[in-house]
Amino acid sequence: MLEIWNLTKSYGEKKAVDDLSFTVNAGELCAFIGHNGAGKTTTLKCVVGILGFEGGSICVDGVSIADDPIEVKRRLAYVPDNPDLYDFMTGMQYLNFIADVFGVSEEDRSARIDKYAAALSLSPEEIGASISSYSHGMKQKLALISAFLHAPKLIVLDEPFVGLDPKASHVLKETMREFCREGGAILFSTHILEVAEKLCDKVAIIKSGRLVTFGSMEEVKGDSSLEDVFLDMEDPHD
Amino acid sequence: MIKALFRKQFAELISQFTRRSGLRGRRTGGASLGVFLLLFAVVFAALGASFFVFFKEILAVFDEGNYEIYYLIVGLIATAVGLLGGVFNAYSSIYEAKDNEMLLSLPIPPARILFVRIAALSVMTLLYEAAVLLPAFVAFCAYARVSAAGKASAFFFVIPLTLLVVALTVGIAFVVAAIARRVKNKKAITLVASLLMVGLFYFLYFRAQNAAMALVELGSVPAGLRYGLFFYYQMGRASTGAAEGMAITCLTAILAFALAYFLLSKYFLRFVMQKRSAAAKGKVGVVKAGSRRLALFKREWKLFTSSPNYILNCSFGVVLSLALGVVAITQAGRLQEVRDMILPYLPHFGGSGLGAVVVMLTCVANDVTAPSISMEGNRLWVVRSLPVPTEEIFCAKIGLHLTVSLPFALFATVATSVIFGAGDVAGAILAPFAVIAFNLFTATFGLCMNVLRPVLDWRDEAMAVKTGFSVFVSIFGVMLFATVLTGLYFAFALIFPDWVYLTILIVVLTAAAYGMLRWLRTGGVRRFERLG
Repeated sequence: MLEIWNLTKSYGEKKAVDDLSFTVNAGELCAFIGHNGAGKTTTLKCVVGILGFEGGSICVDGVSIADDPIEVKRRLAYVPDNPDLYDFMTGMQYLNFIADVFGVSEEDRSARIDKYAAALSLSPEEIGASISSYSHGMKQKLALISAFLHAPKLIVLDEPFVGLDPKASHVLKETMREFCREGGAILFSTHILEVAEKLCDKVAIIKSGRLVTFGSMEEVKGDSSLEDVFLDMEDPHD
Repeated sequence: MIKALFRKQFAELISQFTRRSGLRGRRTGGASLGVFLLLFAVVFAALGASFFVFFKEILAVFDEGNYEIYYLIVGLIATAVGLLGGVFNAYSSIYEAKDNEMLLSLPIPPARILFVRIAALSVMTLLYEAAVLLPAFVAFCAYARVSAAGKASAFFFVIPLTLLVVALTVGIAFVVAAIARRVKNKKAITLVASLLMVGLFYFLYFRAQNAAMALVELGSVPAGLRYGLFFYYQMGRASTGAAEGMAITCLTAILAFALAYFLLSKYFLRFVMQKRSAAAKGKVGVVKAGSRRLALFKREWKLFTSSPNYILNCSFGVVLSLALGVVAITQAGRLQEVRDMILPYLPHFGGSGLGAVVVMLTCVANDVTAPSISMEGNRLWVVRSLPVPTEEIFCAKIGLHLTVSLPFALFATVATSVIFGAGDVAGAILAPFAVIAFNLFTATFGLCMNVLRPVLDWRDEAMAVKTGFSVFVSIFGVMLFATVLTGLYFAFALIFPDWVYLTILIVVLTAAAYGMLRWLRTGGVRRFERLG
């Protein structure tokens, strides 16, 4: 579903992502972990077409983001770590806007809004309220609902559990699993290694822009915990 | 600590003109700052020149004994200008500043935060005041027969008047902020308050000469005005050389400023820490499908209509166009008299061309596209991650500009053509097309400027709509351009009929707009897609 080959992205002289390659197949949930400034968000933004890149290629569902970014964007959804939404709209207006852009029918959008809003405990009155009155967690929930609205094939999430209450976190994990069971793929960054360990099929660890390990969760962590593996990879002199 | 706060406050102000945010904070360096300073000087000079002419005409009303009335009027106009520029600056930079919570979480006494913010506000107010007081002073020195002491006092009025206006500004902004927090539709409050201030300025501006004449006829300032406008009356006295007038002016301003600072420092923390709004609850929304292009346009429309800052700063031309149309209809007889006066000097004068040019001058105050990329701010990721061609986003922004600007501009064009250019059929047919072409030109120009110089990392929306480089260049660049077009119209009217000028204008403006649209589709798209 997602193929990244030799991705290289620089900011001036500094290489933020350096020759990064990994794949996420349909039905797989892949955690993307690394220390702050390792290049996670830059990679995710390259995948969803927000940032351009100098080297390598990114394909979603067989379509290259460099060749046809619009087609790639139709197949995916993205939620950033701190989703600044349109605070001049109500939640419903925002969801209608996203659904209009993706051409989702009224029946489908209605059914999906009901399903995901109920799951994430966002009431119809809250969805009808202005986004400017939302808390961080409510914005996060609305952004997540909008991500599922057009039934994408790939969902890219940057720190999706930050700001969510325990119940919403639990529901989101279940929803992510269900989405992958139905054939979708998810790539998400996180600093919560326990969640990644329990939830994911695959894990990619990035350090200073370079991929240091990638594989199935079992392959990567072996008999130890993901936290031990991750900390072992960190250079104590960094 | 205070030095660091000052550095932050002024760096924030200057960075709006020297920074291309979204391109990883790259600075444009001295070049942009140089262009900005040059433009600022040009604008300051242009404003100064127009105020100089205005004050010169007012001075012509006085004889030697009534000069105190002059500075009474100057002071009121300068106050209105200061309030117009300052109240919403104070509202957003003191009471609703986005970094209030962050700064209050640091070990900084709130009074110091307030002091720095008021200092920054004072600098801005000083600039606004100087734009009025400097030309008033030059006209006063050139045409008024008063003592050197009076002229020396007049030179220093900028200081007490700035202190007084800052005191009034923070007071009015406090009231606006307090009301806005208590009512549901705070945007309407902001809009109404802004319109009141704009109305106050224009009322004073247009009534100034008549008021001066009325006061001169009375022979002295009536007691009611002396007490009601005590500060301004003392300013007027000081300008005639009365030392006690200057002392009272300064003392009153210092007292007003000190009182405002004292009260604000007492209530600032309490105000900022107040609970702002109840839990998010609204009416249950309706699921409704539409096309992608319509969704993009509706997004722009909602952004525009939800922001009083955006409406007031970028579509004031709508009010001017409407006023022009109404004046053209209600004062038709006087306009026809003007036309008859011009005809002997401009044998080919048709009227429709001049009507179109005047409408274009009103449209200069519409710069909806100029901050439209900046207004995306931190929300840019939404459209950048959606399957939307960038050209469609640009189209929606240009569409919004035309939707806002054109209806009243066309109304004014038709009204002026019918009344001003009676009998000029060809001109009357071409004039609306010239106005449409001009609006298309200004919309694409503003968008090009903003694609080139967006400000995406603003914390206060007013920064994006008021002070960005692109807004500045768009407004004053188009103003200069429209002035040149007006001059060219009169030059053409000596030799050619209006329809020739209008045809050339339509062709040139459409070609220029087409050129910019082509650039937007190529270079503009590339630049936009590099913003991340």
